[in-house]
Amino acid sequence: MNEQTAAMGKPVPHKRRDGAASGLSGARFAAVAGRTVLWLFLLIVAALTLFPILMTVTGSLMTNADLMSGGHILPTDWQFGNYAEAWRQSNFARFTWNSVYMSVAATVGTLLVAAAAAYVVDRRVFPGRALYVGLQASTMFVSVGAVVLRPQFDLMVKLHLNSSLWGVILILISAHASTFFILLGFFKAIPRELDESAMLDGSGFIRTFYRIILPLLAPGLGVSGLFAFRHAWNEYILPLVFTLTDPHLQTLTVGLANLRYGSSAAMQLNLMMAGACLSILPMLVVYILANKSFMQATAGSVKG
Amino acid sequence: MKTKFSSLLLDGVNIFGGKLYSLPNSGQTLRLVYNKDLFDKAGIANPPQSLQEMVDDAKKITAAGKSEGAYGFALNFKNPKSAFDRSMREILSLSGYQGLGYDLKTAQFDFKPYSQVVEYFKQMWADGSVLPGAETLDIDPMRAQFAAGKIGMYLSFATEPGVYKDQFPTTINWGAALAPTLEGKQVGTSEIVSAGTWLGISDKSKHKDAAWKFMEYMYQDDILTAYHEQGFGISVVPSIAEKAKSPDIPGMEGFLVGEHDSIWPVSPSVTPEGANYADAFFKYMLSGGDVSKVVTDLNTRYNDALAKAVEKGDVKTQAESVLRSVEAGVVIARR
Amino acid sequence: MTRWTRLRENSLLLLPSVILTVALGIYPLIWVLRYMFYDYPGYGAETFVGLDNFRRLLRDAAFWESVRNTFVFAGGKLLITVPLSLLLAVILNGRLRGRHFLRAVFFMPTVISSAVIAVVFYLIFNSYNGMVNQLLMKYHLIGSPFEWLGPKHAMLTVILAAVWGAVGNYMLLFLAGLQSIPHDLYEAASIDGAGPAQRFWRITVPMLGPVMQIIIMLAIIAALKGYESIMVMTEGGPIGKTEVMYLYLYKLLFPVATSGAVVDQQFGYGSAVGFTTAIIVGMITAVYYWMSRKMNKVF
Repeated sequence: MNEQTAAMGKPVPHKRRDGAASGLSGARFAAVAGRTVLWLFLLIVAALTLFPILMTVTGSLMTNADLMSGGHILPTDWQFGNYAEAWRQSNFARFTWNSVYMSVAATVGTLLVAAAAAYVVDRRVFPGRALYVGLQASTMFVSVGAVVLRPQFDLMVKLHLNSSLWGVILILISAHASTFFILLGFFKAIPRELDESAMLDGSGFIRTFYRIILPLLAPGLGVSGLFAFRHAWNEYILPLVFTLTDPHLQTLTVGLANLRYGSSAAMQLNLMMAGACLSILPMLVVYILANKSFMQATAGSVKG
Repeated sequence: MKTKFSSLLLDGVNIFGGKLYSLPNSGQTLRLVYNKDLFDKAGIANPPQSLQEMVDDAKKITAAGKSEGAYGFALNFKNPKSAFDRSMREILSLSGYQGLGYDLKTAQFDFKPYSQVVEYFKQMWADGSVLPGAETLDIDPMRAQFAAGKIGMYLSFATEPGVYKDQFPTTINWGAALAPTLEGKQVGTSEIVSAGTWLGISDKSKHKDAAWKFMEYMYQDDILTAYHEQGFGISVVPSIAEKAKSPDIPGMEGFLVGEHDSIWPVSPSVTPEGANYADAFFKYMLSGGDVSKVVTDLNTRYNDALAKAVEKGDVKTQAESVLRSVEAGVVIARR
Repeated sequence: MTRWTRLRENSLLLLPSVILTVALGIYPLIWVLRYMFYDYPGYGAETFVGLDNFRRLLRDAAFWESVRNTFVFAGGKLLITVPLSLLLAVILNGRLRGRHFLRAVFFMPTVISSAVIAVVFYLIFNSYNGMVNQLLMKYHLIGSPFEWLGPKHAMLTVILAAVWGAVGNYMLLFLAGLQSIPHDLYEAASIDGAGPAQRFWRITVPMLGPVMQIIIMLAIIAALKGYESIMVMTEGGPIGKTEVMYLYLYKLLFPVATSGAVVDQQFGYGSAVGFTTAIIVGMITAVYYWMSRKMNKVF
């Protein structure tokens, strides 16, 4: 952007005149000063952004004495064993498994359901199509709060799904509206002629989908899959309420939050920090590997 | 059997509709828990006997200990009801008032005595004698702070010695004393709570004889005595409490049943519309206001709820149960 | 392909979505619309009480307090988040060295669960053993522990946590919007002698109008609905200072960590409260949309 380039001191294309020497160095000084302020601002914001994460990480590597006596920025004695301890002591293995199971199932389910629906809405004309799209859009905006958990829970009890994570998983999948719209956008970008001509040539529906549509849809599936995974992984209230009577089903978010008033948080703050890092780590790794996709999808949802 | 327990049986707890369903075993006494080291440091010889002394002591301890992060007083104010129900009860009952805001004589709620004790807590808060962040402290974090020597005193149940033995081992010197009272004199008795029942037989049981045999076995003297001596609970049965040895947990001596402890009649438990007494009083403690208005509002709402519950039949004979128990002279053996 | 085959295919593909949406999305709403006229403790008898729940709502001081808290929270969060994320987006849109790295840094908090963020903030900001106070005291910036989560400052702290987790997200949305503005407009303007500030106010802001309107609307809705991080950090704050509408509703029905089971659980009343909060959010959104309609007119 050109305002940017100007601020960076790129020479503005006009002739240099002798009498204007002082004016130009004045402009250059302002440019450099402006640039410094800018960078200072960015660095401060970046520091504030990273600060809590860094504190958690360094805290997780300290001995408890260091942490309690306070004021240490770096551990005096690096305790990598804290992670193994937290893993063992506070059931993090169980929580992680539950989170993985729930998130993977919810992601796969959401993608399947949303992709199927998006295909039909984009490619086929049928009565009630506008109604369906309107329905999906409205579910994204209306929010009556935690009270809906009760009828949802009742339904799961009737289906005998409340004693496993599948109740939670189905509810997560039912919130596929945003995934639906993202995939709808991607479907619009795949020319209809491709699959239509394939099917005219006698290729069955499934084969067409598999060989022609899927490869083109893959980036869309990847991106919306990431979003669905993140949403499921970070979900708190839903698994919290559904696992009140089944602690062995608790996910990482729920398990970690439950510890915050316990003796572990009070007496072994360093282990608690290690536990928090364990919760953040998987998502962070996924993010570092795929951050471009995340950012692309967030940006794309605005354009669409 | 009957004589062993006769002084303890409460209508509405063990007896329903004239029939006996359960027997008691152990109960929880409530005490002021204090850090002797911090008291020494502040130059205080004895734990406070009156609320005013408590406020003054808290101030002195804070002045002496603040630089090291130690403060005079704390409670688990994250959950005001839990905090007040483990502190107000013994202060009020020892001062001669029912510990949950109920007036036994009029069979109505009256929070005026309650508010008088709250004023002292409010004073401590205003003085800065309460550990910063106490309003975010849940019970375990609070105990951790006490174990770390950051709190001069708090009030709680006889569960504390067990906590400092296993959960939060501590090197501080601490002890337990009777709660301070409104006037410094012990006008009433410190309430023993959770003492009502241990084992009972359900009305719907199909094996009542077998159940009774089990109860007879469990309620033998040897078993009840061992229960007490090994620290599973403080015996409230007079014959056991008199003869059993003190349990082997440091600090438990301060909690043992003595001449100033007794069981109180059960007060009706109602749910008012709006904030409960603990939330209302805690809000007053932190943000001030007109205490008489708070009391009037609480009385109105609680007595409304009481009237509704009586109408519905939930709390039908509560007032009568209470009077019956008081008449029966419910009392605990002297030590 | 016969009509029937087509119909069968369509139905098969659409059915899972429809069933799930109706059963788990629409049906609960209908449930709420019905139960808000009943007295239903969650088990046992349900009695029709007409508008009693709404009469109770009108005299429920705690609820209206929570509505006020919601406005304060949402207002505070938006006042910091929107300008900050817009500014960051503008800065990082140009050819700045390291902008990809910086974008990744700023976006990072958004991949972390708001509940986990809240746990971390609670652990480091609490007054009695939090790391922030310890650091501040070590470097003599404060004399005695600052009560981040106390009655005076808890709202500030929960707003900070919310802002921390949200800025990256909105920064990216603004970036996307900025990148859709054609470059020639800027070049033409600078040739005509427009300075950076002028280019910003005369080109960027108007062109960004429609996108900004949507982004701000999403931000408003999210800020009004957010309660998860508050619940984990303060459970409604000391003496209800950070209790927002949706948290108040949650606490009516489900237990929070420190308080045990809910006293006097009332799903009928809860439905009435839920319905009312949805209306309030809807009204605010509508008002905003109407007030910001000028943003839609670019030229």
